[in-house]
Amino acid sequence: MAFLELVDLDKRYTQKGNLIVKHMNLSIHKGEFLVFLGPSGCGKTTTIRMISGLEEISGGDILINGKSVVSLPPKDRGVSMIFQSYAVWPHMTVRENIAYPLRLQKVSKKDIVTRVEKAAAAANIMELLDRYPTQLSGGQRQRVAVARAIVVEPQIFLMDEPLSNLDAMLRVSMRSELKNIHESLGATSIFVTHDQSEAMSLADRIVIMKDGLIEQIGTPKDVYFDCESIFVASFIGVPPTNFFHVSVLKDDAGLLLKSQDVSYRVDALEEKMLSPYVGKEVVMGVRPENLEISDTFDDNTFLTTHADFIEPQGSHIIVISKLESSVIKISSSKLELQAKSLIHVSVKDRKAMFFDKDTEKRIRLQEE
Amino acid sequence: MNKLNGIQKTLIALVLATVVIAVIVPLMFFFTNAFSNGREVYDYPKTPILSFTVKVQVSYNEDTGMYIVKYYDRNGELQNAVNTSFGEILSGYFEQYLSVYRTPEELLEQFEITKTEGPQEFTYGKNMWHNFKTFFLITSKAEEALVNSIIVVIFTIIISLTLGSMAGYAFARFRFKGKDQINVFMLIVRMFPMVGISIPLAVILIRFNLFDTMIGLAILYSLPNIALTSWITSSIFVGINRELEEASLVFGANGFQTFIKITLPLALPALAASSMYAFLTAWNDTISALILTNDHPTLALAVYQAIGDNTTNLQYAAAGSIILIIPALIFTFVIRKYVNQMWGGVSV
Amino acid sequence: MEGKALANNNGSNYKEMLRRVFNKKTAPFWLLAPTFIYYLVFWFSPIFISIKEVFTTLDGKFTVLGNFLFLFEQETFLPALLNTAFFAVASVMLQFVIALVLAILLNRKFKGQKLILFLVMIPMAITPTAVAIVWKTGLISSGWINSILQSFSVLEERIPFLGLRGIEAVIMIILIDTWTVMPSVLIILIAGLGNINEETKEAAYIFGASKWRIIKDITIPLLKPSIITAVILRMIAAVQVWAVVVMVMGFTNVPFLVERIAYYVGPVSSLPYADKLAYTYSFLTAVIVFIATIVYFKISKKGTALDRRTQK
Ligand SMILES: Nc1ncnc2c1ncn2[C@@H]1O[C@H](COP(=O)(O)OP(=O)(O)OP(=O)(O)O)[C@@H](O)[C@H]1O
Ligand SMILES: [Mg+2]
Repeated sequence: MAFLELVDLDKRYTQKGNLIVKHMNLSIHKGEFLVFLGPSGCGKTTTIRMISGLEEISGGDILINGKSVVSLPPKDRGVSMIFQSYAVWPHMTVRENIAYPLRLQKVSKKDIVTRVEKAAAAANIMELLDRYPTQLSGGQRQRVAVARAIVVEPQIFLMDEPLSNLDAMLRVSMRSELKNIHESLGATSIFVTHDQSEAMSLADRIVIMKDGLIEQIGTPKDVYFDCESIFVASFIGVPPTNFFHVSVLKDDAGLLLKSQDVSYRVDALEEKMLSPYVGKEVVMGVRPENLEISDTFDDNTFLTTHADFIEPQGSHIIVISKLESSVIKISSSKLELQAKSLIHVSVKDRKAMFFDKDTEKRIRLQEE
Repeated sequence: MNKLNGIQKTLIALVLATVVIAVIVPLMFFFTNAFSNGREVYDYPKTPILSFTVKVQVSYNEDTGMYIVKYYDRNGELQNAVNTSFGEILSGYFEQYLSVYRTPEELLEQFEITKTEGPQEFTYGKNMWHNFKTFFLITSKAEEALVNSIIVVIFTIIISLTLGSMAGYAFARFRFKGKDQINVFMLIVRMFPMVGISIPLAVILIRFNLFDTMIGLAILYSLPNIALTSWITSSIFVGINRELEEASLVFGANGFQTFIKITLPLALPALAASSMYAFLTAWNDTISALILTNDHPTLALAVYQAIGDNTTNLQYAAAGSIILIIPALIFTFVIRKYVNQMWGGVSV
Repeated sequence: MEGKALANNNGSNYKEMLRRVFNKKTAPFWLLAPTFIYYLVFWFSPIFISIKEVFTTLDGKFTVLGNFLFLFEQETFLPALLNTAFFAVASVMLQFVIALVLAILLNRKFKGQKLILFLVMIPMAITPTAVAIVWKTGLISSGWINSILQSFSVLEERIPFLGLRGIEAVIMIILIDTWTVMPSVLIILIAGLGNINEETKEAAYIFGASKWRIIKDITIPLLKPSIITAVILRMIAAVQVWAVVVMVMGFTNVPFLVERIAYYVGPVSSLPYADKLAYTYSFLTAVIVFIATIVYFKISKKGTALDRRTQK
């Protein structure tokens, strides 16, 4: 059963302003680690703030355990939050910072002491308890924010880009600590980030947003390999998906996808999917690692081109090639490949995604 | 989080309304006062609304041959004004007490009709600048005082800003021995009452031949303002990224050019704010000007001397005050934006 | 050829000399020197003169307490001291409380917020002489204050405000002073509030703090540097109040320390001992301001983050 549900959630900041979050529907399970991922300004912060109760909603509903919470202040929603700026209180010691939420809840002095120490231990800041935030590094402040957020034993744990002010190394280690804490608490977490690798490594499910709309909800694997839209395919993955605008042609052997540069013979399954598009154009997306380079031309050859640039990445190389109408990137393990050499490229295991050119949505098999 | 309930909203509105009224009402009465004629200032109760006209009732007494002029006060009641048959007296009274400028002939000609038709009412437009003209008439050297005030303000700003910002820069950018002590000393300078310095300073200024000059006054006004400027600017200079300066040095500018081209523009808010405080010190002071000048008063001093502590003819005092307020008001509000920015970055 | 080389050499010598005089080490010295000289001539030497005056008798003999004892004998001295003390404490407190409430109310965005701020700021720009006139037109018995009170039928009789003396007069002056200087406190506090990270307040709200608790536990403690700044600046100015007093109430009726100085250098400056008293009053005032500031610093810094940090 869904634990936290967003139903047709709307947000506009001014009376007649644009909808910043548009009719969002989302259900989150208990114990899940959900990550909001999307470009800047797409409404991630806005959504998480509406869930926390910091921001009013303009329409729709938010349900926790089946009950509407939109009229409740944050403390009655069982949420706690980590802010991008950490928002630790500079005039309180670390201990006071962690204890303050408990003092607000009128927890007894004795319990406060034990709970503060427990939270501090979990966040690994036992020896910093009597310091002031100005005497801490960014990473340590972050831990204080974490301890303060977990000390209230929240049902829902909200994090708005909590790692974005940390350096790269620290980010990676904090990432796994956060995940550990999440698991040991058994809380439900919502985590906002720009950073896809962060999203991939943390999330049970990722919510990909664009302009206030949800583009796709799915496991990290889904959103990577099974993209719902051109946006998702281009947003996720470095280097991004290669796109080809191809015409769907019918001949004696079945369906053929063709453009200036490429040619792709469709198999039976794909034919079923693409048959409504005969005579039209579709967008074909192939991940760089799903393009395979061979020296010889054969039936499966998707396109033939020159390897214009080669970027060695250690374990593999990225081959960059200029086609007539676009540039493609191929991830390959052929470390010996020479720049400028002629290459024949095929699609690995038919791992291609097809998108409707107009709606930019994925073309799926229509169930009868 | 920022949602308020009805009661809270009402309460806040009430508090704000009270404060705004408390600020505005005195100003409205004061403003009205500055444009009141010699009779209206004594009206009671008073209204905070400007009047542009004066209504009088004129009747003719055949026995004495005099016109009996009565004046309608702001509450619509008739008050005795003047009884006379002489045009000059009428005209003089009208100008002095009613701020109505009419020649004796004009008035006599208009009043002629009351001889045959009985009492008549007349409405006249007030000369709204009467109090201002009178202020300049009764205040000796008012024009010179205005010029003096402007000069002393300019000198004060120049002295305080150059010396103060240099010191502020030194505090912000360099470590040196005795920095803390000098800082404390600057605070003490600001604490010492300016009046207290004025008396002995007079002795020194006489020695330098600067007594009764605007430079001499500016020297005094700069004393607290150099310290204030250095304090404000050093807080701002600390906030200015040193790399910006270094970048300029790398591109071949020398230290002085860097200071002029890079640092100074960035410090503009601080300098603007400091100049406002310098302005206000120099523009507002009366007592030190009283001590340090003889024949060359500043405007504030001139107004103070003209008004003294009497409680009559406050309309002229009010007019003089308006002349005194306007430049300060303009200056403050032009610079207010910077002052707000500046206080964001300053603390003791 | 030779001449050129020589000139070059001279040039580099000259530059070398410049460099020796103007470098990173000497820079603060050069930057501070003008101020230093300025204060030496125009601040220190007057102070020196006045200290000399304070500790010599009229006929030039050295005395430690003579002038102070003479000062204490003046019957206006004690009232002046008490009035000043009461004024400084009460006016600063009142102005601070009003400014704090206003700052918090005006820190939120709403329609008309800018306008209200603008209106409230106006009195700050009004010259003390003019302030005195603004209020004098109100305080005379046919003035607008009585007019207002009457029109709301609060009272029958007109109050002779200008005839008030003692504590009532001081309270009246406190109100007038508050009217003009509260905005300057407000500016500092509003700027301070603007610098507080919004998220620190939101965090408190998330954890269940009410609006009141947020103000009390988060906003005000974080505002402390601005509060200290504002209060110190006000206190220094409050001890030195005089212009409004004299222009509204006249000399001597409601004595204050600096009002006394103005009195002895103004209307009665020709009295033989007037200068002596003026010097002694200024000396005393400076000492009082100094002590008050130090005490305030000590009290306010105790318990702030800064202080506790250094104790650890
Ligand atoms: N208080 C506000 N008033 C008006 N508009 C706002 C406000 N806060 C955010 N917006 C607008 O709402 C949109 C979504 O903002 P939001 O902060 O939710 O984006 P985000 O996805 O968190 O972006 P980022 O990744 O940059 O943090 C933006 O276009 C922003 O300009
Ligand atoms: Mg955001």
